[in-house]
Amino acid sequence: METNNDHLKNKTCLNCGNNFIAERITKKYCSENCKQIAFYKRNNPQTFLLNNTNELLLTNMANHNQLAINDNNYKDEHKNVLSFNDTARDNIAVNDKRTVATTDNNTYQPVQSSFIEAIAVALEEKEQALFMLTYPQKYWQADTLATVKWISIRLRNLIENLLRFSNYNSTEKGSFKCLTNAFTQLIASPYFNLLPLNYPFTNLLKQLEQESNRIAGSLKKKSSFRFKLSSNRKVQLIATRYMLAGFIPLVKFSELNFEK
Amino acid sequence: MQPIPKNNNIKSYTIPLDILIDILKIVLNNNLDYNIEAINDKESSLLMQISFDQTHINHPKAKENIEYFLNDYSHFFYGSPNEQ
Repeated sequence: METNNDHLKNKTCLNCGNNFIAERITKKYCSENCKQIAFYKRNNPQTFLLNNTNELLLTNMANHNQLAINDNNYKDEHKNVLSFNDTARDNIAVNDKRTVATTDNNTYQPVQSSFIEAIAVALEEKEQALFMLTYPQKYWQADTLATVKWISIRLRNLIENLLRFSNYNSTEKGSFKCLTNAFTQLIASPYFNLLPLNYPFTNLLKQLEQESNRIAGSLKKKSSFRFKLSSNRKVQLIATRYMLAGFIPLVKFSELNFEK
Repeated sequence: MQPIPKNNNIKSYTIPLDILIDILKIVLNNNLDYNIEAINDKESSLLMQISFDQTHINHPKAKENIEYFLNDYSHFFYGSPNEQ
């Protein structure tokens, strides 16, 4: 039986144009293959046309005209997403003006979650980073990759902990100081200096280190406190954690050395 | 305690604070009966029991909408791109 919510899950792939059932509202492509091709087309259309020996690209070259049409569709939709992004960033913690209330008893207007949409938009903006982590060998040589993994394992752990703390009613000062020290040690470690310039999370790491040090410095005599993340920061951390989770395993904080 | 109508389907959901407002919009817009069963202060979530009338035209859609949110949130918060 078709429901009004079906438009949430019955989607048309923005790359190949095929209809597919999306497990999540935010899905735009029917497969990883289509997602990657769309990424190449957006970021380097010439590579897409010339690099036709690539197996992934070859499978879709027959649909090239279709792809061109769908790309315009993508741009139209992407434009909307970006404009929503601006709105979401401004209003994420306030009212969601896009939400349409159910007014008619016979029609159901699905509600959109500004928080989930903001995560999806953050992931879209970090699409390049996601591809770097999905296909690391294409971007980093073996020795650089070892450095990237060393830092990323620790970054993921720290982000997981920050998100956990942000959900807690009360965070022990000692636990937060451990986290802050870990950030400081990580940035002072020799591996941090060896990070490649294209590593996508260098700035985030520096920002988190500065912010956590600032908070730790302001605690003074408090033994515990309520650690809060702004909506934008939380969205950014959830998106980054999600990307890292596809690339590296989760390791316990106690099992990690942040210095060397 | 009021008897539960025969056609009602009652489900309990653990709702994270991050999307609580979005889910409350669905609950209130559709006049769904709900009951806060527990608040997990430690993990910023609450356990909400929601009653859906299976014969109501919009309730099954509202239920689907709520479950989409929870599924998406859980995917982004705990999952990875490998679990597409």
